[in-house]
Amino acid sequence: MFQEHPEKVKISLFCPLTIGPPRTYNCSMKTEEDGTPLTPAVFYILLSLAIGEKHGYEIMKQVKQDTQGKITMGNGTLYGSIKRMLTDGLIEDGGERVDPDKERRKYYRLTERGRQTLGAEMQRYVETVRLMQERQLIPRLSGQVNL
Amino acid sequence: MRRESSKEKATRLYAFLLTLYPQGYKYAFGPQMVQTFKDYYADVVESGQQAEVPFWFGVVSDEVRGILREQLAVLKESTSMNNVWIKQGILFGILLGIIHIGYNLINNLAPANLTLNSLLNNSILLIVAIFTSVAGYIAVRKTGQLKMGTYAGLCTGLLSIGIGISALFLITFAFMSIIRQNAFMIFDFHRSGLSSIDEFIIQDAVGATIVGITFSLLAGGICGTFGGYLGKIVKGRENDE
Repeated sequence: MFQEHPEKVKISLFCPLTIGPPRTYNCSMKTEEDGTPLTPAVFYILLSLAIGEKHGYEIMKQVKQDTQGKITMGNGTLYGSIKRMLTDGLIEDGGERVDPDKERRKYYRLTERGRQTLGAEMQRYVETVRLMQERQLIPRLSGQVNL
Repeated sequence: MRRESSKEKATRLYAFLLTLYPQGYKYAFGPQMVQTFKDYYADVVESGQQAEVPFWFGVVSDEVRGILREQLAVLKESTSMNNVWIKQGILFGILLGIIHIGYNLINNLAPANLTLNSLLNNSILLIVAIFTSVAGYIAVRKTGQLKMGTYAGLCTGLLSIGIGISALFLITFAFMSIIRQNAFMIFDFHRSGLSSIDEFIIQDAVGATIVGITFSLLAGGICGTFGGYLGKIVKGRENDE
C-alpha cells in the first residue's frame, strides 16, 4: 500500500529524503528530513493505525500482536506518544463513540503526513534489508526476501 | 450497600496515579487513559491472564516513567519560555544601554544648547518606549503569553538603565572639569544654593539615577505589556489564517 507511488517516496541511502515532517524522534541518531528513524512506540502506533481507526486499548493490543508479544505498551507510553504524534500531525482525533459495551471511547486515525512518515520508515527498512542481502549479512533467513 | 468491585477499586487507584500528571495533560488524556485502563484490566486481570501484583508492577512502572516525562516536558517548556523574555530583555537592554551611553555623553559633554537638549530628552523617552514595546512584542509573538511581554519590557528597561547609570557616573567622574563649565549646570548650581559645584553635579547624577530607574521600570512594564498585547493580536490573526 505504500509503494503505489514509488516516485513520490523515492529514497536513496545517499540522497536526503524530501518527504514528511522535519521532526526528530530519536535523539540518539541524526535524522533525515522526514523524521525517520522513528521510535519503536511511534512506529508501531502508526503501523497499527495504518489498517484503520482505533481507540487506545485496541492500539495496545494491535502493537502486542504485531510484535508477537515482544513489545507491550503501557498506558503512559501510549498516551505520551499519542500526545506528541498529535502535535506533529502524524495522527488525528477520530472522534468519540459509544461502543456496544456502552463505554465511551476516543478513536485515532492516521493523517496523510503520518501515512507518508510510516511509508518512509518502511522504505528505509526495505533499503536496509536489500543492502544486507547484497552484502550477504543475513544468511540465516529461511527464504530470500523479494523486494 | 453495594460492594465495590475489584475493577472499580483498581480504577480509583489508577485515577489517583493520573493526578500526578501535569494539569493540561490530565485534562486532554485523563478520561481516555482511565477507559483504556479499564479495558486493559478487564482483559488481563479479570480474565485471569495475569495476577494483580505483576499487573500493577507493570502499570505503576510505566506510569512513573510517563509522569516524569510529562512533568519534565512542562518544566522544559517553562524554561524555554523564560529564556525567550530573558533573551529579548538582554538584547534590547544592551542596545538601549548603548543609546543611553550616547545620550549621557552628548548631554554632559556637548555645549549647552536648549534645542539640542530638548530634542535629546524627548528622543530618549520615545526610544525607551519603542525598545521596550518591541521587546515585549517579540517575546509574546514567540511564546503566546502576555506576561512574557511585560517581563521582556521590564528586563529591557532595567538592564538599559543599569548600563546608562554606570555610564553616567563614569562620565561624571572622568569629565568633571568639562561638566563644571556647562552653562546649564552652572545656572542650576546657582539656583540650588549648594556651596560646591562638584557636590551639585554628583547630586544631579543621583537625581537622574532615581528618575531614570523609576521611568525605565514604568516604561518597561507598561510598554512591554502594550507591545506584548500587539504581539498577541498579530499571533492570533496568523493562527486564524
